Amino acid sequence: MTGRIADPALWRAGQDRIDWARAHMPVTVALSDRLRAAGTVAGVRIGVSDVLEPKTATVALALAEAGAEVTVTSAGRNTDDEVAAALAHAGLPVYARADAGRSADRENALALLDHRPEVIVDDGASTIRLVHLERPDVVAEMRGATEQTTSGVRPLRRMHAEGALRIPVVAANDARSKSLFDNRHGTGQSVVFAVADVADRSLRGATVVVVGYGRVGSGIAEHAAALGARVIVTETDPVAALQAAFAGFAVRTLAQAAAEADIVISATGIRHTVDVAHLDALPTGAIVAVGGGVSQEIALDAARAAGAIEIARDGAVSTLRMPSGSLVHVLDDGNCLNVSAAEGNPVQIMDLSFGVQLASVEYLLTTPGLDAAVHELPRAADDEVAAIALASFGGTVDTVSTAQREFLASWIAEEEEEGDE
Amino acid sequence: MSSFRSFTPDRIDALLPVSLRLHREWRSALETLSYGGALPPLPLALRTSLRDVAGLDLAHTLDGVDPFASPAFGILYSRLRADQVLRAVSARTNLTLAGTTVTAVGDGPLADALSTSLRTLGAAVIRATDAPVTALAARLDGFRVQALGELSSRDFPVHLTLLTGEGHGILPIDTLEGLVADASPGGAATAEVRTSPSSRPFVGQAGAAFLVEMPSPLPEAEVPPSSTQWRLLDALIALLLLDRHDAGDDDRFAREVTP
Repeated sequence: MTGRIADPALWRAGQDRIDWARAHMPVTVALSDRLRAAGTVAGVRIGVSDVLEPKTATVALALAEAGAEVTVTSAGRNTDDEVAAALAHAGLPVYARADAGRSADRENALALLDHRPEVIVDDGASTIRLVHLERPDVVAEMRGATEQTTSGVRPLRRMHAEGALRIPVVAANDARSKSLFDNRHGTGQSVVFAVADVADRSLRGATVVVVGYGRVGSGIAEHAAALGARVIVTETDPVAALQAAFAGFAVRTLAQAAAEADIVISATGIRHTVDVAHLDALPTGAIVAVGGGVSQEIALDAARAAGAIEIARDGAVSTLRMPSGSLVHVLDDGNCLNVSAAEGNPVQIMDLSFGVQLASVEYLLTTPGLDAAVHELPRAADDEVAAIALASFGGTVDTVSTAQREFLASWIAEEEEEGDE
Repeated sequence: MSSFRSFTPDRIDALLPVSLRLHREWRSALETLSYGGALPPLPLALRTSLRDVAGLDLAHTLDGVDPFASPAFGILYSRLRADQVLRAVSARTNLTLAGTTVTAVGDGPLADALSTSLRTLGAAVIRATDAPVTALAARLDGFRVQALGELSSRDFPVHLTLLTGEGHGILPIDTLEGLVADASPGGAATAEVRTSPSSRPFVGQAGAAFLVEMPSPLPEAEVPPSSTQWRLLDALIALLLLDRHDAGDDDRFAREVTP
């Protein structure tokens, strides 16, 4: 088996989009050049299991060009058939097609494992978990894996705690170059702009309720405010809520805020965050969407069970009549809107994440004796990713002076230290 | 024309709520309204539909009312246009705005609105202007200010240049680098620029610059209109009706279009 894609003839359009992305991914290009020059991944079998769009394709191609034997899979709902065709055209085995359902997705992931990857570059840890459950013989030959999402690192730590994890995994998600930028700036921009585009609704003068003020929620709030929305934040964590207040946002309960919302964007990653009562309290014409997110973050199944009826569907906008009688527009059935209905996070932000992924692969392959656990990417590698990106944005970084270094290294108080009188 | 199929008698009130309410208030029969200035003319098919369905004939003429003479229209237009431009740049390039350096060229409210939005979402904004009053305000608001003549001599990367068409001439686009978006009302700032295709739809290359096509502020031929284009058209008609029947009462216009 050398791949399963929808239509090989789509490759040209996919290649064009990959070319555009690659031209704006300086970190990925720099690190893959180094991997190639050093021969770090030459002949190494690497499975890439990720959302399949132009930016991830750039990483898969970069690893292949650096000499790795790369195989790619992706869930159907996250697959762009043009990009899949472009990767197949470049000679990579690709198991992904947009019309694949849950069972075909699993078959595709298993097909990737049939290539016996020594390293898995994962998004959501589904393939890392699958190889442990279904292909222990493949796990035995693996050198490690990288995982780039919060929701993927969590079960991996659980696996480690229960003694089930058999390979070293680098939590690329936890690197600062990834976590401080991808969620806030990347998802913030892509979710807010996708909401406006999919709903065909300017945010100017609108009341936007942002549910959850973590990294994703704070980015969404910031971008919505930049586009002229009045933002209300809802939170369960008092510290995060206080941060929102100090950023200038009104902080209310969701039950209070729902009644005056034009748009509700959930950013908690927790099921049933926007529950039936919240949906029922929304004014007619309100829009509901999920950024980041998990299944049923908007409790749509429960809403239907409570009597909500879909009365219209226009593209990715489903209009529900709630038991209260109000009409609520749900964007893309409550799926992760920026991925499912737009092009995902901006290219340069993903470049940071993929730079971290490549640095993680390099760390796995060049560090002997890593045990079967979840590892952090070393600070120096994280810093290098940020420094390359900073240079591409036109910034320059200072260096620590000798006097500063001496101060930082000493624990003995200076005799004439200020402020001790 | 298929793009204006939505403009039917049962939908016009949703698409043009303010102007039709005013139109009915004065119970006029066919109103012929004309506007001048930088906004583009309506596509013929829409003009015909508007006349047949709503009883409004909207013409673009040299001596028509310039909507930008109304401060309230300028405010509404600049905010909605800034939103439209930033959304188009984001969707058509899939590139980040946070972290980038953006030059906003121009002296008017659109340059102000773009600068405010971009700064809020994390871009470093440079105001490019030769107008001393604009430069004073921009400097005191914490923006870096550049003269137009300095645009092509940079010692740092500029990722996006936004041409607002407000108070400046035609810039030599091919001396710029990075993305360029012509946010002027009718695309006049780059009308003469020749581009070659890039690997990305809606993006053409001119020298070291990539020109990102912008949607028109008003409905266009062959493209389904966005809600922002309908909203600006609604505001334009309302303004012209108020100009004819209510002596151009800008306060009333502002009240009518405030969401």
